[in-house]
Amino acid sequence: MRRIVYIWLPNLPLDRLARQGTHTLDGAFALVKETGRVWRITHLNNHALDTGIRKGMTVSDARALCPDLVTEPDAPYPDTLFLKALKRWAFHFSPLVAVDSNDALVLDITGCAHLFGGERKMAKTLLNQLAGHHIQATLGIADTKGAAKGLALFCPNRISLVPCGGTLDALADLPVDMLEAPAPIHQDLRRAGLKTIGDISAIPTAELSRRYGLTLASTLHRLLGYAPDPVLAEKPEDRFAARLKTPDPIGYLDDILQVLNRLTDRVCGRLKQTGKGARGFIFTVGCVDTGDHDIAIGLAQPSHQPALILQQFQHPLTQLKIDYGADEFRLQATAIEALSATQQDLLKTHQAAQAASTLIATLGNRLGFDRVCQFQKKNSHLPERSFTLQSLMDMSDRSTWEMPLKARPVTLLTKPERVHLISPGRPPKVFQWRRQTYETIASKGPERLTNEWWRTPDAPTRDYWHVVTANGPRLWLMTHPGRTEPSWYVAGRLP
Amino acid sequence: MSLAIVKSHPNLQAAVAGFAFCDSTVPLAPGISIRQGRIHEILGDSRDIFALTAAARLPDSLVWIKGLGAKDYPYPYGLTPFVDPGRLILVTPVGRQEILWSAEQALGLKGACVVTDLERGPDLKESQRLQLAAEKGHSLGLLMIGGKAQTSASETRWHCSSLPGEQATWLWHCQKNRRGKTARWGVRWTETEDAQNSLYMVAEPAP
Repeated sequence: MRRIVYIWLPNLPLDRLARQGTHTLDGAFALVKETGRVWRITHLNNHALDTGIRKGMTVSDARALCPDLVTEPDAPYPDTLFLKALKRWAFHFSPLVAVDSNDALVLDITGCAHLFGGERKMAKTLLNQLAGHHIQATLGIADTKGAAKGLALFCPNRISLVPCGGTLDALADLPVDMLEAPAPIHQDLRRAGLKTIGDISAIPTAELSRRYGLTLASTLHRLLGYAPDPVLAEKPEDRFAARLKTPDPIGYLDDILQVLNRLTDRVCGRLKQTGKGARGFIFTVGCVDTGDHDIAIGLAQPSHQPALILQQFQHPLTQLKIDYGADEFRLQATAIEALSATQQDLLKTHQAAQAASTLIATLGNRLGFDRVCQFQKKNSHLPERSFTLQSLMDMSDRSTWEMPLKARPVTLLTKPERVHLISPGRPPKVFQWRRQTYETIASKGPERLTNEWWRTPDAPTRDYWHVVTANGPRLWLMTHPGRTEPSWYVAGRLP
Repeated sequence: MSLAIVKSHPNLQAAVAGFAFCDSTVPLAPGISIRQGRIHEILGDSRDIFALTAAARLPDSLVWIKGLGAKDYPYPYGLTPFVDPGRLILVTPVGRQEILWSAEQALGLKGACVVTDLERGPDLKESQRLQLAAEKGHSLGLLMIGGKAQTSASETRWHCSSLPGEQATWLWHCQKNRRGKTARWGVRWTETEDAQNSLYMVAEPAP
């Protein structure tokens, strides 16, 4: 017979905020969420409960009851991460841990309870440890998931333990609302006068399913243990991180490099074992006075070689300022990717690629990875929109560039610069650009490029001219045709 | 060696023309070549064409360093006659210190061609550091200078200007040469039958 523990964490978001220590939860405090067009209360503390506010109330009603109410929008993502961290903690008690909805943990403790001195003692340990982390919880222990959940949610005790085989007796007085079913079915059950689990389990299954459908019957069977309902636990993710604490704070660069050496060896060893490489590393230095400092580096290609990683950390570490020392260090690998084993071929291509990616990593870590780019082709006939600069870290394939049909300038001005017309014409015979006067001796054109009407319907059409000047430079001039006041711009420089 | 190979390979062409090949020079046009493993300064309005011609001769990585916020950028479709734009690694640092540091790092890459955009030429100290990095990596360093050039440790200094004409023609003036004579060349871009070597420059000494 399986034994399941259901840990309900009713005030998880509030506990998380209280642990952060940045929120004043002295007075009435509530977390609110926008549902539809109305803001409703989701979690509230005891002070707010005393004033009469209830969960699900609108914020305006709540403020009418308590004008001093402090509200904050709920943050589902940090709460999810917090619950994930609690799941990792729960692995200490059982290998099968699952997260239920977003505020509960389900543990399968079949055969584990004796290791903790029995079920009741284990439950007390669980609650004590959670209380030590300032997290409120209610526990239910039963034969099935549904039963444990019902006990945790609907029983007033902190720990509700139901012995093996006693599920039906324990659940007999609990309300039918604990069964998961759509609202119309609950309405029907209420109308029929079925208020408790005891009532509903007295009815034969055939009649129950004929009136309310098979899903309700199967839910009830799973609840009472007649049908299997396993705890579906996710495999714990591999964490490629290592931590080191020194007994006394250290501050010299050589010492910190030694610490980093050790941590890198550990993390890289684990990466090598699983055949993976990481493209980013975060080294957290916990100073005794200023707290945690994160130093992040990135690599152009996934790697698990300590030498490459240490090389990239050399420069950022010199910029770290430590006054009173640091005693806690953590290295974490991010952006984990499978490393394909490349053969060391006789040609120099592998070594060259390795050297190039080291250069990109060095430049990127110092300047920023958005500053080391390559050209990427884009589908557009407008010259400035026909390409983008994409960071080399995004590892996309190189585009193939075909020769343009018409000659194109070697450099394109970011913004076409207006020329001052001295002697007009089409193109202008004499004009001034960047404080130099140019005289046109030959020209070729116009090349008309219309705007992208699906994107910018109001943008004007452009005419481009190849202009050969008497001074020498060959310029790519642009104009907007069909205007009374001709305006000419230099768009680029031709070879 | 058949005649066909002599015609097609640019390096062999330079050898036939009688240049010292063991020192690995990069032939830009028959009669004009610059040494690899050194830095060279380029001034003038068509300095980017000079840099691209040199980059076209080197098969390995091409690193183009340009300060952030520059008024013009290389246009990939315009680079296609010279180099494959996908080969280009564009680095955009902020400030002269970062530009020089990036150039030094990039010159450490073996056999690379590093084109740097500077406003003012490097002085003796800066150019010595770049020269050492280029020697170590045996790479070609090309410093495109927009303003004035100072006394530096660069191997050669070129001034490239466009000559008026329908055809692409330039005047390349070697203003300073540590080993050799200064000279002026009129360079013209012509077509050849060989599709592989479509960037064929013809140069005649100019007065």
